[in-house]
Amino acid sequence: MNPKLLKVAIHEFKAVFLKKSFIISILSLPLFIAMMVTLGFIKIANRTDIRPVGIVDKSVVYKDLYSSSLKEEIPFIPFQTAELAREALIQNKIQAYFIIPRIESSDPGSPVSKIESVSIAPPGANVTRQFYDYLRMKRIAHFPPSIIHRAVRGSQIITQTLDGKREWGSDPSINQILPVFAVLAVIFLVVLSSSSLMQAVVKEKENRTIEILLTSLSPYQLIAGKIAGIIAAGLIMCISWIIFGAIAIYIGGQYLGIQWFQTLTPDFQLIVGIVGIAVPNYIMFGALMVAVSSTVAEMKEGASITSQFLFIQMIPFFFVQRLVEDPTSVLSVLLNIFPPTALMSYAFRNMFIVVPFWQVGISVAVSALFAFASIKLAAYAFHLGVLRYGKSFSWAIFINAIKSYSTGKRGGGA
Amino acid sequence: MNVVSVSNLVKNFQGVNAVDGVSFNVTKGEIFGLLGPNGAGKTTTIRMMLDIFKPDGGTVEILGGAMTPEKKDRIGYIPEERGLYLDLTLERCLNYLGSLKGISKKEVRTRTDKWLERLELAPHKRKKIKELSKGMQQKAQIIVSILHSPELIIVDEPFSGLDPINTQLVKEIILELRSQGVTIIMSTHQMHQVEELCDNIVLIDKGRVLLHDKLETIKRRFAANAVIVQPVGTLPAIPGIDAVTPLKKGVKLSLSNNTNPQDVLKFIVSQGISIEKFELAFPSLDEIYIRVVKEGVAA
Repeated sequence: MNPKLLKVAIHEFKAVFLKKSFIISILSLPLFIAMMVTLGFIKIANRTDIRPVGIVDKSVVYKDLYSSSLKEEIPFIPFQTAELAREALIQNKIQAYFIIPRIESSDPGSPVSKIESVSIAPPGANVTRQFYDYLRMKRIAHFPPSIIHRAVRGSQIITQTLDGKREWGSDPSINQILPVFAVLAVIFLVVLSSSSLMQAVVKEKENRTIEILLTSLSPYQLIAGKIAGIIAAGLIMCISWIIFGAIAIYIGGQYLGIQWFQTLTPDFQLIVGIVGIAVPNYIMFGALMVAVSSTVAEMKEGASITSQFLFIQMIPFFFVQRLVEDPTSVLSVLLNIFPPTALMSYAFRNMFIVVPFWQVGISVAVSALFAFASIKLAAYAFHLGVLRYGKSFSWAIFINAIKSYSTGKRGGGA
Repeated sequence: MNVVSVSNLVKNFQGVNAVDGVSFNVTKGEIFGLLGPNGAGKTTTIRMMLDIFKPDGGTVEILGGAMTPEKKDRIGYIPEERGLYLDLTLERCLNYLGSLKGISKKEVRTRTDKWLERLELAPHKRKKIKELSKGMQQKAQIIVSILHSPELIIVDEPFSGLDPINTQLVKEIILELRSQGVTIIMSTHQMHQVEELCDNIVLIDKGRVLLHDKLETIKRRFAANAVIVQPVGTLPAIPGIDAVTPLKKGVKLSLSNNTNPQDVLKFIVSQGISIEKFELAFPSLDEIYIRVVKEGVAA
């Protein structure tokens, strides 16, 4: 790397890295996820009630139910009459009781209707589910155990692609959701870095250091160095999130016994593809933000323009039906190759197909090319901004400048 | 040998020529004054010399050819408005800006410490730039421009914000640098500093060169046929004198067309009159500046 560019990058990296807000940003995402998971657990815990439940069984079909050895967390207590059950409920010995009506048939498969539940306060969300699981098991008690357990598990629909390489069951695979996480990470990174990216040039304008810097550096060295420093800090933030995630998966799998976490086997080729598209994507958006901030007089003006760049990234949402219905269509492939929409399109397509390697390769190459071109554009926009110091941003002037830059005419009016 | 050669330089901003055919040469080891009123085109000229702006016409040769990235490391620059990182400490700011001039980290630190001592800023090196006085910031800016031992220094208002003691200190540094062969281009409104320091000047207004020569030659060109005499007592009537103008100390004698200063001096000596001072009445650069810029007197 160019030594002066490297010096600018290190200076910019330190400026971001040594801020308190950087530590807060690193912790923000894992803390947010941890908070959401904790809230979820609290919500589930609040809805779960393991106090005993009474059953008044007037039928003969389920008489053996209560002495079964099935392991469940709620103890079921049989009562001879509804009055006895009511008394226990009033005395708070049980949280609720069910009354199974009398049926004439001794066939366990006979329909049961009008099961009545009685409680003072609404019982735990787990109570009804568990009660009916028991009933279901008892009704098919004459079948082999494997069938009983399958029946209790309920329906499970698995959708498989024609080539058999992608399937959707009750739980998505890690390879299907990794690109989605990458999309979220890039959006998060762009949003969290936007302040540093926007201020990269504005700070120099405020400090009046632009002229000093331009007598030591070329616009490219200055801007590429700044982008490299800020992006590097952003990537460190992202790596920190991955480490936090890995720790959470390890704890979840090893200590909390979450089975899904124990069987994660991410595809190496997929990871290379994600990194290959996501990193240039981040650089490209970062460079475009610096390009805009170089040409505006005020931060506010820049912030409104950069939101338009984020909007471009959302374009695949408008084509989501097409992407899902036919992820191999020409449009889907083009969206996957066009850098601003590449990552999100890749995420959508990857859920349903294994994106061909050549398409990922082209996408990575085009994204890298766009990232480099964006840095060049940002450097030129910066030079233009120096010449147009203090004037408002105009897309028309910006585009004309790009045209004049591409035809070799440089150094426009102030 | 020309360190800077500017030839027919033109810069147009939205139909107006901010710089319109400016030409001048700066030779090695001289202090060159770039003068002109506000908006004359001085800063634009400097920016084109430094390759910040591309000229619309004309050429700039600097250190023996067109500007290159390597040459930037051989040039120091002090802009008119201070350009320092207000939130950084003085030491860190100087180390960073110095390191961008292609010198090693260690060398930058050594030189920074040396110059901070020399300019009496060492006790303040841990302070943030924004906590320093305007004069201290100006001295820090001067350090930035000389930290890398440049061959050419371009300074815009170098004495801005400095008290007389620090002005003297900076003047000493400028003269010291010149004695080491460093070329200095100085843009300032302080004409007495130009008179004291500069060898050659160029005066521009509305983008055009009005004057360009050795300072002494220009002063002679604008000198009126007059002498300043400070007698011990009173002066008698002297032949060939058109007018006598009293000054704070002495008088200014305006000579008639066929009288020269030697005739006046001979007469005074022949009369045995004691004098403390006898000198040609050169106009000050301030007077020349006003006459050329305001009154439009042709050079």
